[in-house]
Amino acid sequence: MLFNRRHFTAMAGASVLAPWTSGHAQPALAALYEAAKKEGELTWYCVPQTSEVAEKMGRTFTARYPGVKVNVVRTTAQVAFQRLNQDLKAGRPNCDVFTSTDLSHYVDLKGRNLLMKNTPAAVALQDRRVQNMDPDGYFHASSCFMMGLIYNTAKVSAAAAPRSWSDLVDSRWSGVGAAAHPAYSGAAGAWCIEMRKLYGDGFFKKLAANKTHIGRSTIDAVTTVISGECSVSAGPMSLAALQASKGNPIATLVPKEGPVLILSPTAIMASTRRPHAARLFLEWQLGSDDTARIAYEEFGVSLRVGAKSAPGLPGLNDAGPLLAPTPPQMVVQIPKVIDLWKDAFGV
Amino acid sequence: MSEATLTPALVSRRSPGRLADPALWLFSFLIALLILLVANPILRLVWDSFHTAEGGWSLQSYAVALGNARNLQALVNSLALGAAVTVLTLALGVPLALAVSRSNMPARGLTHLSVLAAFVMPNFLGAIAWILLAGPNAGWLNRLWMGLGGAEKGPFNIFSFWGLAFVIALYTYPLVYVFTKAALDLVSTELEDAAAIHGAGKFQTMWRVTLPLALPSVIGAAILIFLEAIALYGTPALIAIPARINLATTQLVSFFQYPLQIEQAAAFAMPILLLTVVMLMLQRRLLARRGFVSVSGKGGERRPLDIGLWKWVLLAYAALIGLLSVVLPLVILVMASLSKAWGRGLASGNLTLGNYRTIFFEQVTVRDAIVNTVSYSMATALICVLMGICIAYATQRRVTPFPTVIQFLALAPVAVPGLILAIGLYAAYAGPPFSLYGTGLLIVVAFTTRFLPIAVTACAAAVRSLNPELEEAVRVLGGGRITVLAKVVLPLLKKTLVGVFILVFVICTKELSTAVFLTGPSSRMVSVLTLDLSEQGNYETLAAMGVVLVVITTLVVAAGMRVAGRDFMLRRGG
Repeated sequence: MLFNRRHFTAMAGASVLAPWTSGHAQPALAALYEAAKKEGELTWYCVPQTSEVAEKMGRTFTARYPGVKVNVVRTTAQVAFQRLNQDLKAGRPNCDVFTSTDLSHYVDLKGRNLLMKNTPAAVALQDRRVQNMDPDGYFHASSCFMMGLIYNTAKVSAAAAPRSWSDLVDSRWSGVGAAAHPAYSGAAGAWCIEMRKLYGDGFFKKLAANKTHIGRSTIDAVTTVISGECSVSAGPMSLAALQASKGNPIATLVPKEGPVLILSPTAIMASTRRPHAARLFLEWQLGSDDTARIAYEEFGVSLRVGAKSAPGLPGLNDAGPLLAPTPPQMVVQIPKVIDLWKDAFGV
Repeated sequence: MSEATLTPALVSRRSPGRLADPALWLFSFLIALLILLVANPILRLVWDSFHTAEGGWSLQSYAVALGNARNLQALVNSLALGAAVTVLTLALGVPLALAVSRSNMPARGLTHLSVLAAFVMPNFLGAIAWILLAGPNAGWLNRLWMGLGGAEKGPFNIFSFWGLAFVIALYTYPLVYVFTKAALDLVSTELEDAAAIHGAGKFQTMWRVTLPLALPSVIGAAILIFLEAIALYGTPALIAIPARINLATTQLVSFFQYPLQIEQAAAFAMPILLLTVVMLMLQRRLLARRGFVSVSGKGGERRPLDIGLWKWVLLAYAALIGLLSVVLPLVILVMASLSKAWGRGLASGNLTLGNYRTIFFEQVTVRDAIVNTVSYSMATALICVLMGICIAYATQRRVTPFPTVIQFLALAPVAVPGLILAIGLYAAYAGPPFSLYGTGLLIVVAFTTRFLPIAVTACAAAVRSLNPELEEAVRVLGGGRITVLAKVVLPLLKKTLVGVFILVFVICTKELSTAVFLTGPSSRMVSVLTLDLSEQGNYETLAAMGVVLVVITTLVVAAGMRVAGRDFMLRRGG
């Protein structure tokens, strides 16, 4: 799946000619916008971005396409999925666009015919490695981030900082390490799968024995480390770099085994009552300059070919080996790691 | 609707011509509404627990929900938590009630207000504040301790069983205080004097006369606290997960994760429901015995007891409780709400008004949640007051047939813990034919069902205190029941009704357990949003939102107290 850099540059050149910029997509987009305006709004269940960024994206979209309002509903992956299922069971399809971090949810939704088949033209602008997330075109990678090691710079010197994932179970960090619960966070689920691959089932018991603090989200890990409540954690490198740029005492590094790549899928619900607004939103989400700019400003990792990452943050091409569970692995193994986790931690 | 047509038919046989009375229609409509509101969700819950998702009869949900060691452990943990919280609230509430009601402790009015403030403060906000105060490594109290003593580690850990019990107790003890104070306020000094004349010392009198007289109320309150603690969701979600304690409520919520298992949730809820019904029956029996002792509403002189130097000890204790439950949490919330990053403390360059700007002007979600919270709470309080007074009047004055049944129906939701009632309400109203999921109406319906008992109880006590002669005078002069209600009962009971309004309003603004499954994207409330935001660790925005909510609630309470008096929480006559 992974391409080398030369290959990548070639792709970048080719994709300049992608439909988005090639002119004939513009009239299609304009027509979509006209139809979307009639629908007036859409509801976006969003997980990967923090609520500030999610709302900023909603506002930016409306500024770009006046007359189409975005109702942003931001929660964790599990809660979002729970609400989605509650909505559907109650016969109230609130959600039009569903962007989350847990791949297995999409596989499940697709299996139940709850997603709309739709391949935005903007997909062609993306790094080839993240295209074709679903070969049938029901869901697509919308953004990504990398789980790396993060630490509090006031409590831990750069020289003493952990270098390997296995350091999290080292007694040096007993009582001051943090990790997110896989039953609440999709990214934590992916991270747990990769840790299990690296260190086996016993890893979670060791993590619990090391008095690791449990959060409900990987985002929480960053605040917990900034506050000094914990000194080291597995956490999203993007958010850590953003917080560091604001003067907070936090730093992030790539573990020697490699960071865990978390791709955030996005999809349109089959039950949507605003299909045009939803499709317009997906085109914008995947391929617009707005989202590329927001990704840069907010220290995200853009999936667009040739996009630059913010200073101090590795992009897709410079992080070395990437650990990433495949969609089938996510589906099969998430319940297993949740169970291992609950056995180890008691909750 | 069938009730609405049936009831007048029954009555008309007895007194022909009364069908024309609009009051009868009004009351019949109310009763039909009551049956729909109360019986529907509770029956639905029981029904669901005995069925599979496909609709067949089965005990399978019980086997799955209760046949798992982790789930059973959650039930046991909840019972232990309930017991711990009950003990702590008694230790907090009873001495304060004694001090304010019976002693000559200074600053009794201020103490009463601080209890009121603890009542206004939402549980989940208190929990957030205490995470900031007593987080084991970065909590401000722990850092203060380390700074002062040079110790390596602070002594407090909020992420523990007792930390959790402590935080819950801090914001539920006002109930113990109110019950105990209400009973103590009625103990006449003559009894204590009699004990003193017979040679009892001050403490012997208090221990053998005053406290035993209030004991049924204290135990009654303790039972309510126990039930409240085992049914609480917000604080456990914030503290119990990092503390690694699995509780019945967090377990119930996990049944709502995918795949949605309402039937299992219903089955898992049944032992808690059963326990609640048994405990409430026990409480009723205890409180019913109160007539046995000489506690009466009228007559008797009440003098504060001079307790000597002990008054300073009690004052220090009251001040400490006020500090822990209100002052410290509010200070920390205000400071966090003004910080760029709360972990950096009071550093220069860390101060900002940005969090308030964010919630008022940028994050639509937060602003909407505040507006929703206030408007749903207002609507619920208003409906509860109107329904409460009508039902109380109808049952007390026996306007409708079967007053006991109606009274029972109106009070029945008390027996259902909030989270469990929410499951019943979800099952009853979310889907067709009502399809209320995600609407504000569902929240108002849910809150009304849940808090109607409070309104009915308070209103019934107030109606009992009215002499029927006034109403009869109106009737003699040809006025109908509605005229009586509008022109006599409502004006006379204005104070009580405003009191009930404030009480229900405040409780609604704090309610999380019922709301957590019922809010949709456009009907989110501050309580639910707090949970969503807390998981991002976004305590600065959260704190700002909490401060705004507390300010709004306090303003409403202050305005209401001008009309209803400072004792609006007390149930007169119980």
